[in-house]
Amino acid sequence: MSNERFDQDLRAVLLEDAPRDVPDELRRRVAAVSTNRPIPAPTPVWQRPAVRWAVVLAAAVVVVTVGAWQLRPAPEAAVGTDPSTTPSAAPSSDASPVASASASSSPSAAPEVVACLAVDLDGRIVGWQGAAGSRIADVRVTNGGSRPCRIQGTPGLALVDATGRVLIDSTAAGPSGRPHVSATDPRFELAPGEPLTTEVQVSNYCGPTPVAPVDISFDLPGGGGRLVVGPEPGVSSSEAVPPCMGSTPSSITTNGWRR
Amino acid sequence: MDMTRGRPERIRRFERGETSATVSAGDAAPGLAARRAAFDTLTDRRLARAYRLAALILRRDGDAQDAVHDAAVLAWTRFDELRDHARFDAWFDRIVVNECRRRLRRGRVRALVLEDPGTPSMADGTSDRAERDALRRALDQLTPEHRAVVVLRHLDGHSIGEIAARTGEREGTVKSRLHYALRELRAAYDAVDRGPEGHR
Repeated sequence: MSNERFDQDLRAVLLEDAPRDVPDELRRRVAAVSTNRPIPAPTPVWQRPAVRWAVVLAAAVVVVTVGAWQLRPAPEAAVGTDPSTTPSAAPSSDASPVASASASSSPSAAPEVVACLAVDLDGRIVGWQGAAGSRIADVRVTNGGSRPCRIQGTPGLALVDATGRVLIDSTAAGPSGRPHVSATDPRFELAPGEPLTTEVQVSNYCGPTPVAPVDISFDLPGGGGRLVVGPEPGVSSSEAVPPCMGSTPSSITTNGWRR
Repeated sequence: MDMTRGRPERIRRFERGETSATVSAGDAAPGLAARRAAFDTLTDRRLARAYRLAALILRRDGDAQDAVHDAAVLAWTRFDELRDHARFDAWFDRIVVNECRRRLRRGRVRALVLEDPGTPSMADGTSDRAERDALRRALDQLTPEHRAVVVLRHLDGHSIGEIAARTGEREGTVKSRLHYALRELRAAYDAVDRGPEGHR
């Protein structure tokens, strides 16, 4: 069997198995990415990996240089004098600025776990349940970052269709629907990969038929950005839209985070 | 008549595609519109290939769509790190490949279970179908990393160096994976019983 024939058949199989076209739904979702997601602020120069490494390298060079300077042989003039007065005692009083700076900037307490940003999180609607006049989404949010972070408080919520149209917005209900943190809100620290769950209840939607899939957007308190959570594969959005209840106000609420 | 009048400003902003970050950033983010336009154009142009790549690595359509979408989200959040937009294709492919790997690692994607096509009849399509089915099954047995290099090489026609850039691996690793993958595929292909007239 020739290699040429094998290559042809392999390519033919790959072509046969490859999807022919990009689904419209995917096109819509990707087109909405740059408008529906938090705007990426340009990374400050000092946070860029190359610059960080350069700073670390420079600091290492300084430390080594200072260390070498301090360990250099005693000056000729000191030879033969009283050991207690030789410069060997100097390092303790002449402690290098680098060493003292690093010591003072290294607190003994464990570092504070920072609030999760939307970009750190990975969320999914794992199911929709129908209830009388309302719908409830089971949502799982996972820390997709590489560092622990914390979640606390109530996010602002919106039910959004695939075109980015807002069907129901929690802020329409007033201050209680805005992202906020209360002193009594439990605080959850999430290790990388660790999930939290919540339920989001929506009720009374009377607008035009939304385009599936229907997502839920979470505006995190404290300016943590907006996390748009879509349905997990296999989860249909057919149960996502609550029935129209007339003049009753629409609502979208969460019952809080839990592990 | 402006139907949006009287509605909360935040909703109107949301509908216009402005997040609260946009509004507060205001003039502090000059060039944002240009960045958005560049990102949208580049992703739109690359979308078909990225989706094809994800679909062939994951072997499941729905998962591939989610992987490409999530890759696009990640690409947008890191778009400012890409200095040279001419390198977008390789950069985006790499994010897609990594997203596929991540999903497979986290077990979001179940292993594909192919229906047994049965023994092909020589009368209804010669031995080609048997050979291709054997290849298809062997492809499914490969690890995602091996499948990715096969797709990038044999479907997209990339060089070893280009594949290395798209997978984040060293060229030696790419060569090794390609060698191993092709050996497995070839073994499956050659094992097909082609009957007395099957050998060409």
